[in-house]
Amino acid sequence: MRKRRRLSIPLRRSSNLPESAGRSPEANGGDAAMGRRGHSRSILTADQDRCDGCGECVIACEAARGPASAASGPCIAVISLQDDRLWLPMFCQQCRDAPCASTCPTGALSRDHDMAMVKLDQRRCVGCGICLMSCPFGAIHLDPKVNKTSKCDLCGGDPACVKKCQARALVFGASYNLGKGRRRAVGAKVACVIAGWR
Amino acid sequence: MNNVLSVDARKCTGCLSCVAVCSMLHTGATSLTLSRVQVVSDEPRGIHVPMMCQHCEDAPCVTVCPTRAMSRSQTGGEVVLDHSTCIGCRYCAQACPFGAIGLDPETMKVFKCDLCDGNPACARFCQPKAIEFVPATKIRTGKRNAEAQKVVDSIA
Repeated sequence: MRKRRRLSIPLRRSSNLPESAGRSPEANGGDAAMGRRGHSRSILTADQDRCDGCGECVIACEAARGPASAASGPCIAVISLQDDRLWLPMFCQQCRDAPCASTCPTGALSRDHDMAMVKLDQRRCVGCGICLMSCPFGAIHLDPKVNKTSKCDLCGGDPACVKKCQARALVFGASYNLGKGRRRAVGAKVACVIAGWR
Repeated sequence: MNNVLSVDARKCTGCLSCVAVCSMLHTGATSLTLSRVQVVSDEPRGIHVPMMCQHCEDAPCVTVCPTRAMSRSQTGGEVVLDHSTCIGCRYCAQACPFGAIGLDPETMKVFKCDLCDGNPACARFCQPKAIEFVPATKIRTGKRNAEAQKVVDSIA
């Protein structure tokens, strides 16, 4: 028995074990039905090489959040760096081991692994502001109207900021495509140089 | 002197055996998306460029990491990722100029080349020797000798 278990270890990824152990039985069953690689989650990524600092994403975020954002402000900010030569859109990164969710004393902030996002239940929030302190990116803010936490909810899976980004600096896409664009850009440069040598 | 991964894209045939062996060794599955090394192909020109973590000396991923999970190894000279302190914010991937940091869609953990603890499988399995794990000085001497040989050939 022990021998069989040992044999199966190299085929199962050790990093997978704690995650699947914490999941609900139906989530495990669903994964098995879809196949090991069938489960793709979308993530919001920003490419600072493409951002031109137009600020349309900020306006779109304000509009999408409606009157709630009038007081608390949008969930996305475009930071100007190097005297407006570089722009960096900053938003909630929906961290896997989110510090805000780990420090929240009431469980108002929790990690939704299936949606790959950090969810906020404002009814449970007591407005202690500890999440503001623990977030490394300053992506969480307090809604001054109700004195409760407010953060990006990815517009329920269809972010408004992405739709308005003309430069395509903001992308909401499959998680396995992370870094693909930049890899292709650098690879194409190398290929051009080599082609010139021939 | 530490060894470095040296890539000569001119030799690469795009067979993807490095991709297959890398993902097999690290994850137990042969997967294009889970491989630490990726091959960017320019099909019309027939050029294939293997790309992986360059283990930069002044690495942007190390600079931006808010929890210092990404750090430069004191002994080996490589950039190492500590999953126990990583919070999975993917800022390292945003900072990397080469797109060398990937994300496991299942566990949502970032991954990068760890040089296979000093014996990279991609270099071992590369048949045309496009990827080699050699001392940094050897990259220079190899290219120098190859160019010198051309001069010799042209004179002879």
